[in-house]
Amino acid sequence: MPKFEKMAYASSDEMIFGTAKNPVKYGRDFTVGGGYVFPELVPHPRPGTEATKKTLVKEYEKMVTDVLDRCVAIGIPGIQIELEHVYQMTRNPDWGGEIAAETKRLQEEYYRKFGLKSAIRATIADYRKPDEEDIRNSVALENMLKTFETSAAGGADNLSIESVGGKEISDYTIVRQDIRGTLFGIGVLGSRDMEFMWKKVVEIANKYGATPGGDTNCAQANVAMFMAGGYQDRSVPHTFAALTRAIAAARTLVAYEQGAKGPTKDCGYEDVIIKAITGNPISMEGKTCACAHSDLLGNLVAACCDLWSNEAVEYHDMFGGTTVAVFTEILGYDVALMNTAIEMGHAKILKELMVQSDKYRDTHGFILCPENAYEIGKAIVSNNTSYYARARAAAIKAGELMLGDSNLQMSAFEKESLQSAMRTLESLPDKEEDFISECADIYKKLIPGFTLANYGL
Amino acid sequence: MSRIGIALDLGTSGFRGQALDLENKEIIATVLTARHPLPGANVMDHLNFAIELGLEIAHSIVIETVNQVIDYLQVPVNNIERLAVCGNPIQLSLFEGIEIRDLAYAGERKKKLMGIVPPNRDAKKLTAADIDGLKLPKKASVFIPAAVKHEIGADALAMMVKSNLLDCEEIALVTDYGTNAEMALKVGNRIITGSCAAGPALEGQHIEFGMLAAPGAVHDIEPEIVGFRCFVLSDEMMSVPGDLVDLTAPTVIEKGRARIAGITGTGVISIIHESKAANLIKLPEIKTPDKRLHLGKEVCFTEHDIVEAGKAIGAIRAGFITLAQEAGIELSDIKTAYMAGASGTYVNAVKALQVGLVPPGVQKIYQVGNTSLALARDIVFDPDKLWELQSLAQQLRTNHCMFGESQVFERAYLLELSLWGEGMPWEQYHRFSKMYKLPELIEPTKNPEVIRLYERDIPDLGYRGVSYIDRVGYTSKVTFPGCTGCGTCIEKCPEKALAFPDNNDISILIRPDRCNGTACKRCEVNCPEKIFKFSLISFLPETPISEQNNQAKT
Repeated sequence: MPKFEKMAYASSDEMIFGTAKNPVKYGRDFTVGGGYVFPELVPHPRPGTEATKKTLVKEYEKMVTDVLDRCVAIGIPGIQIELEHVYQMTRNPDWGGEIAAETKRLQEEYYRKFGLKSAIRATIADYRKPDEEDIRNSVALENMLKTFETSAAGGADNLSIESVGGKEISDYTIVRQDIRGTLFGIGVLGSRDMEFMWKKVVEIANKYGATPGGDTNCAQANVAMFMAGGYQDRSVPHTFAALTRAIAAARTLVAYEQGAKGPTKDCGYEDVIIKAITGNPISMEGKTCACAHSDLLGNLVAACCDLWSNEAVEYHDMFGGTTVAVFTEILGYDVALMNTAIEMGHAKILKELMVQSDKYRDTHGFILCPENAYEIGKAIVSNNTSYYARARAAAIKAGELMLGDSNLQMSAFEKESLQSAMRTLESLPDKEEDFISECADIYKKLIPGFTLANYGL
Repeated sequence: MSRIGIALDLGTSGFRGQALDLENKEIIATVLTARHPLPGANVMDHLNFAIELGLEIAHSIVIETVNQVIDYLQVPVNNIERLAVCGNPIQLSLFEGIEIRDLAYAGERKKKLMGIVPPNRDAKKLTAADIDGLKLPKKASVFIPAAVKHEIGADALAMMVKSNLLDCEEIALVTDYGTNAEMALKVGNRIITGSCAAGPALEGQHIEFGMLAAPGAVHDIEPEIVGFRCFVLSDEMMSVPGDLVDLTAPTVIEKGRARIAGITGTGVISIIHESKAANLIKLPEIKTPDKRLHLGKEVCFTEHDIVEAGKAIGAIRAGFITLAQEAGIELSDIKTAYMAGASGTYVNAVKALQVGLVPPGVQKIYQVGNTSLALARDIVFDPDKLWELQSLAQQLRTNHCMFGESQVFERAYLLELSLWGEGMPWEQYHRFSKMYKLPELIEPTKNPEVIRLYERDIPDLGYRGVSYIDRVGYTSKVTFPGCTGCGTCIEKCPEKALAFPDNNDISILIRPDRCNGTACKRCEVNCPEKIFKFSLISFLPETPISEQNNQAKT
């Protein structure tokens, strides 16, 4: 059940990069949200290296060394490295554990030699298949939980996941612009699966003294955002993707209600809303994740970040060194600029510049600019009677904001799609049980393998 | 068996024939052909074919198919005493084997220059011996009804008479929905007719999974709480609930009572209407992941199909816009619509109105069946009708509007093509329409009164029932000296009309009923050796149809 009843901040003006209401301290003298922004570098192994544990551990060893070396080389004071699991690292719990341990060994060495502050996030791969198995009692789940344990035991400071509950529904509904099904898949089923999953993650984190980090709606809202694509693309309307993001915020919040502390997972673009509600530090990615995917809010999304990430970059050589070193440098200079603004008392100006450069570029940036994100957050906490009610309220608020600002330019195609989705949202039942029963009848027929039992229903 | 008469409707997309018992005044049997035997998809193609390859060839192919229809009716030929035909002037002229070039060229000077003398198209009573190749007893009478004027054919007359348009006091429009759509607008005592080549989409042709009404054909879809229910023709040709489908994915949600084999023209209209209502079509795009609308696992509806259907719907809408302009009325003044022809009978009239096939302001829609065959039947039973109709035709104060020469039609049709095929927004359509001073296209009436006079387009199929001729006409064979047998022509043919013979002979087999005719010629254009010559194909039968191996089902 929803827990948050009020906002952590009195207004969006209070929210700024580098500072969170509830800073998190872990790793090697590493504090997130305590006044400064740090980079979070996500290295990705080359295809083929995942063939054996030996080759994969070796690959990580090289990547992590390159990252730490570059930090020292150009004077970056601290960094978090995310071990974003490829399937084999979770499928074989000892692999994930050993890579975490190796990363920790290297980070400790650089801390000892150079005073480089650091921390490790381990993000476990959720490879459960909701349309094929009992996701509350499967081998995949068992392996995932084991890998959380081995990672924490190996030295991961932050345990995170990109959970996939409700994805069987949203994969069907997003491409069809079915807002009802998207609300059901993410807002209801996704939230229920998060509650189930995060109780377990928090328990494991507490057992090993690690910090339960966060979750992201990468599997759903990011799918909608990527499909909406750039200005030329029309396969999913940008307005629809923005509504999906608002719904995702209500869902991602469940991790923090179950005890996650942050910093949140970098690809959760909804995290600005999470910070406004919870006060937890957030990790964000924007222009620096162009190596992984394009988005239309490259500057704006940094406005309230506490960690600044690159999403994922595959390990290769470039003229300026390996990719992981190059992106460490880019992130390092970005955060140096933010931290200098903080030191010189110009943080609010820099925040405003970031926001204004992207606020009207696209609907996604528009609803995630701090003032609108805050309004969506308020809609979530003031409709906390059920996961459904608050997710629906978030979407309706996002829609109202988009329709209410004449500076936000929308094509007729985008506007019609938004108005049609809004009509559907307004017409939905008020009670969660009515909504679930309506959707169950529909999607059980449309989606082979979908079962309510996976969500405790 | 007693004395027999034959009623024939020569339509642009196929022939329909009935054997009639003249003594008991009852219908014995009905035969429908799946296609027209001549290459091409509309009357202009047929005309062009007849002019390029010769009237005699076209006439002989038409007559061979009429013989095929009579053969399939399975009545003793010697007992046949009368035959009456109905159809548009082009089809009737091809049947009779008379001059057709006057119908091809509109300009009077051109006709004079070419020495074309329009033939007499008054009502005629001939004998079978007068029609070359017609396999009936020589003395059997052949009745050909009058054209109102030479451009306004017997089919238009049939449509006006059999629909009761002439008795209607309100402003009314009657349309015979077919490959060649005939329409007549009645304003007071004045009647303006028009005829447009709508193309074959409303007959289910040129649609990827299109088919004529036959078992397995989806003719309507209806939304349910989950998915859409397909209504399918059973083996008995009755509409039964078929599969419940998810239009957005190739799956079946719930099995129905009949398998789905294809989509009829009326199915096309229903799919367009329902998908637009469900936001699955935003012209000209289909908004599903794979840009197709799925009727189960095998049959689907594509964006290309929308364009094809749009050509037909757009031509018809442009037609009544033009007639309204000609009559000096607004579309909202047309209060009654009569829908004739097979498509006009089976289509869900309300859906047809919503997609644009019926004038938008109508309060009453009558669905009147196949008027052309009905008129031919009236004449067979009572030959005096021929002369009554002739005098009626002379009394009618009709004007014919040549759409081909009308700037109003040209503009209205251009807007329609832009709307259906190019994604022109409605606002722009209305802006241009206003600029061109066209009658305003208002929102369709929500709940018109629909009066369906008959359950079927041919209400009585006869006590022996109906037979279908799937393979119309005969296959001809051509050998081009220098042909390498590469098969490019076969591959490029959009209608799969070409094939190699079974033996290893380097020649090409051609099915004229499938061929798109002189308007297509992709076979000729794509031949790498440049030796394929469409004009060298002999379309005359080497052996008569009745002796060829026909595939038909009863």
